[in-house]
Amino acid sequence: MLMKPLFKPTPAAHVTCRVLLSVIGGYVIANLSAMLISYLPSDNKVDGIVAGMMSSFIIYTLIVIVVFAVKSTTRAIFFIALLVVLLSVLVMYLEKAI
Amino acid sequence: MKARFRQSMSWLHTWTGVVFAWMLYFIFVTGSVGYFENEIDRWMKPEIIVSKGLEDSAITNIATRQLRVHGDNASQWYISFPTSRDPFIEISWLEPENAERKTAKQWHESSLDPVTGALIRNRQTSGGEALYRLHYNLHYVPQLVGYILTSITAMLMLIGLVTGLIIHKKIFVEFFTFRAQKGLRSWLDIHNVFSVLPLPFHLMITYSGLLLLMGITMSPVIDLRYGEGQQNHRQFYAQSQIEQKSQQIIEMLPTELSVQSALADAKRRFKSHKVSYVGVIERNTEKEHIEIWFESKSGVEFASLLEYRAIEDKVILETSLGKAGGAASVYDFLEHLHEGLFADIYLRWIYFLSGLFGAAMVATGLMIWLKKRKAVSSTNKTLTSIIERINIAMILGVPIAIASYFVGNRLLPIDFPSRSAWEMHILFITLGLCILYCGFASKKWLWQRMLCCAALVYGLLPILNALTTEHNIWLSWINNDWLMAGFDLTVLFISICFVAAFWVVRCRQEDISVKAAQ
Repeated sequence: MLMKPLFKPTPAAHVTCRVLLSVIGGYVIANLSAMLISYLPSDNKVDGIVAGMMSSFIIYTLIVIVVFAVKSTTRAIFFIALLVVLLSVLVMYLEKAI
Repeated sequence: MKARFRQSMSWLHTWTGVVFAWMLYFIFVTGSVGYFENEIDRWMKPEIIVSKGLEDSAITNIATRQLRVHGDNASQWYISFPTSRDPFIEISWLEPENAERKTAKQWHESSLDPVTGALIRNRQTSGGEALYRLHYNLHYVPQLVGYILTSITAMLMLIGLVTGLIIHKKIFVEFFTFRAQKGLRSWLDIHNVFSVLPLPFHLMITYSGLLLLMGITMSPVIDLRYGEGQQNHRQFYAQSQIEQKSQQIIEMLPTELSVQSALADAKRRFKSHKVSYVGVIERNTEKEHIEIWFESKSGVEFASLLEYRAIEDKVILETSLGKAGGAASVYDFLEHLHEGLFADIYLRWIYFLSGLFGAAMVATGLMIWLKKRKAVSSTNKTLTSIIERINIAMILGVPIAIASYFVGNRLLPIDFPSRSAWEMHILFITLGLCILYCGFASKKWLWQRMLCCAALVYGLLPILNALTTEHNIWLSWINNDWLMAGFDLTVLFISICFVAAFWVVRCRQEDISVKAAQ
C-alpha cells in the first residue's frame, strides 16, 4: 500500500501543475530532442540543427497533449522527469563523444 | 486531466484557443492584409506613375542615369522593373556611412517617372510593409519581445489545431452540417467551417510561422552546437544560407560587362522569364558583380537568380540551384509557402481569404466560449461582461484601425513631421478608442454601432482617395490602373459586407425583442 498523502491538492493546483509541466517541461524536452536530432546527420551539422529545430515544435505539441491526457498528475510529473533525464544524458554523451 | 481522453483534449483546445485569442486574431488579420503588401503600398503612394510598354533596356538607361547622379558612391544599386504587382520603375541604392556628416549607411529608394526619367517625390508613408510587419513585430514592443510573443501565440494555435482535430472525430461530416437558428450549435457549426475548410492553410501557416522564428525561440540548440553569442549564431546563419551554385564561363569580355549586357545575355538565355530586378553589388570593389532576378510564378521558389562577375580576363555566370541540405530545402519550401511571394493574383486572394477564415475561426471560437460561460450560473458576471466588451472591440476594432491607417495616409498633411510614424500611431489610437468605447457604451447596441462604424470608415476610403488625389475608381478603371481600382473596389466591397452584417444583427435583435414582448 502507498502512503496516505499528507494533504489533498485542490483541482486548481493540479491544473497549475500540469500547465507548468507542459509549458516548461515541454520547452526543455523540445530543445533537448532538437539537440539530439541535430547530431543525426554526421556529415552536415547545419542541416542537422535545422532538422532538429523544425521537429522541436511537433515534439512540443505532443508533449503538451500527453501531459494533459494522462490520468494522474503524478504520472505526468514522472513522464516529464524521465524524458528530461534520458534526453539530457544522451545529449551530454554526444557532446563529449563528438 | 478529465475522465476521458477526448474530454481532456476538449479542455486543452478551449484554453489554448482562448488565452491568446485576441493576439491571434490581430496576427491573422494583419498577416492576411500583408499578402497585399505591394498593392497597398501602391495605394499609399498615389504619386507613383504607372509605367507601360517601355523596353527593359530603355528603363535601364533611365535608371542608371539617376543612380549615377544620386548614388554614385553607393555600394549597392538596384533597379526594379515594372511587374504586375509593382507596375512602376523603382531604383534603390545603399549609401555608405559618412564619417564627416556622421550618417550611418542607409538605403534610399525612389520611383521614377517613365516619361521624363525624373525622381518622383512620394509622400512619407509607412506603407504596406509596416502593416505587414505588424503581424510579427507588434510595432511598439522591442523586436525580440515581439518575436517571442508571436511565437508563443503560434505555438498555442498549433496545439489548438491538433487538439481540435482530435476532438472532432467526424470532422468532415461535421463540415457539411449547418444547423441555423440553433444558438450555440450554429456557432459551433460556423466555427467548424472556418477551421476545416482552410485546415491545410491553418496548419501550414502556423507551423511555418514558428519555423521562421525558430532561430530565436529554439536558440539553445545553436548555443550548444555553435557556441553562445551573436558572433557564433551569425556563423550558423551564414552557413545555413549557403546555396549550391553552378558556374560557367560565358563569351563576353570583362570590359563589355555592364548592366545592359548582362540583362541582354540573361534575356537571351531565359526567353520565357520576366526580369523583376537587377542589382549591382559591392560596387567599385574587386568583388563587384551584377545580379539578375527573375519574376518566378511557375514554382514555389520566390525568384531565381543569375550572377555575372568579371574574374581576370573572363566573365563568369553563376546560377543558384537552391539550398544544399535536405532539411534546409524543406525549411525553404515552407518559408516560401508562408510568404506566398510566388502566388499570382488568384492564389493571392485565396491566401488572403484563408487568412481571414483563420481570423473568423478565432472570433467564432471566442463567441462559443463566451456563450458557454454565460450559460453557467456560477461564472463571474462582471468579468464575463468585460471580456465580452473587449471581444467586440477587438473583432471589429482591428479592421477599423487598419482602415484608419489608410485614412491617416490621405488626411495627414504632406509635410507633417514624422508622418509615417504617425500613420501607425493613428492605427493604435483608433484601436484604443474602440476598446474604450466598447467598455462604456450600452451593450445592447454595441455590435450594431461598431459594424456601422466599420462600414462607414471603409466606405469613406475611395471617396477620400478621389477627393485628395487625382485617382478615383472611374479614372483608374479607364486607365487600366488595376491596383488603384482594385484597392478602392475591395474596400468598397468590405464596406458592403459590414453593412450586410449590420442588417443581419439588426433583424436578429428585432426578432428577439419581438419574442420577448410576446
